[in-house]
Amino acid sequence: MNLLIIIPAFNEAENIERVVFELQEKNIPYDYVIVNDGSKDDTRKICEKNRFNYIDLHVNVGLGEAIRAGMKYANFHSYDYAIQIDGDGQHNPEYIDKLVSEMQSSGVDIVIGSRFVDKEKPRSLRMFGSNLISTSIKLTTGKKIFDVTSGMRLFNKKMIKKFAYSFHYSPEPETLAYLLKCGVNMKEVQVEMRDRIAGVSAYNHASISAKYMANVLFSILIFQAVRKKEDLS
Amino acid sequence: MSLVLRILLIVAAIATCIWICYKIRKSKVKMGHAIFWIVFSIILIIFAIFPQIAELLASLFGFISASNFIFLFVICALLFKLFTLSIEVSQLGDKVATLSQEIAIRYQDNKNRIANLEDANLASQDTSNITNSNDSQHKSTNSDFPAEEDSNI
Repeated sequence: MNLLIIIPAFNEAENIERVVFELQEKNIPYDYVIVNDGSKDDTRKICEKNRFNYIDLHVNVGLGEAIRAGMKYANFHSYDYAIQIDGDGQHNPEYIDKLVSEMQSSGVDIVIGSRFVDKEKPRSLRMFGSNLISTSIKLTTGKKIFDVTSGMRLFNKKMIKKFAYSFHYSPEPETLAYLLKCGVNMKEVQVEMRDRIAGVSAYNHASISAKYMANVLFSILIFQAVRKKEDLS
Repeated sequence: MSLVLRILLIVAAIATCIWICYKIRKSKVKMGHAIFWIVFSIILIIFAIFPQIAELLASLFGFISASNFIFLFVICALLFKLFTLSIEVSQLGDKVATLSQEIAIRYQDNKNRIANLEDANLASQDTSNITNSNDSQHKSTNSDFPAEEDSNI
């Protein structure tokens, strides 16, 4: 099975060992690549010391572009599937097989590891934002994605190429909405996510979150309409 | 506010919107960067359709006319954009510099490592050549497989 696990890591010195050791301890039979996104802390040194398989971006390019670097890596080494998981250990790698078997049985192009397929969303500001994005996707595409901001997404070969090289393809909810419009099939699979153990989230500042929301909502509600639609079904 | 100014504002705002949307379609501008121009255009259209707002704000801040207020607003918005762009350009410049420096350092490091490996390789080849020539000057290169040689004979 030709699958690549993409682990973007920005200032994850406290977490990255735990994430990779978990992959090794649980005998996850897939290749992985850590994308060190120009971290200011010791992330690179820790990867080097442990001889992890990592690529090192010399400057910080942001989460989306870091994942795209992983996609380019997957494309270059001709992987058939690529899955992004977070570098902070939120995602249990045992769920990867669940996502893969879902993709193989249903033949969809994207499988999302979702927290809210069977379970209710908790009430918080973050979940209000998630609901807002979810609703605007439903409004524009007619399809419902429950966990739009999930950082655990499995892509097939067709999507790897798109995400690696096409211009507007950031691994964010607006691209999911666009792809739904283009006839790409996606499915959600219920997974459990743990809380971040160490380090800080990239979205813990109000201004960054507000900017993120503005970006996503503008893209889904306004710019979606003017983008060229490809037939990807 | 004169009717001509209002019509001009609307035309300019709509033209801006169409242009930026065209650029998104052509994959020339990131969607995040287009938000400013859309919001800017919408505000101009609101000022043009409801001149009372501009007049109210103008009298509040002590401007002689609403059009003066509009001009100042446009100048401020563009200055703001210029300022943020200036910051962005600085950061991009810094990133390009870091990028080229890091690439240069790591390229040199890789080159040295490869050179060292080649040197070590050559050195080990040399020593094995010397021992070979000392031990067996007339043996063929197949001397690594004595069993095969025996069977041939």
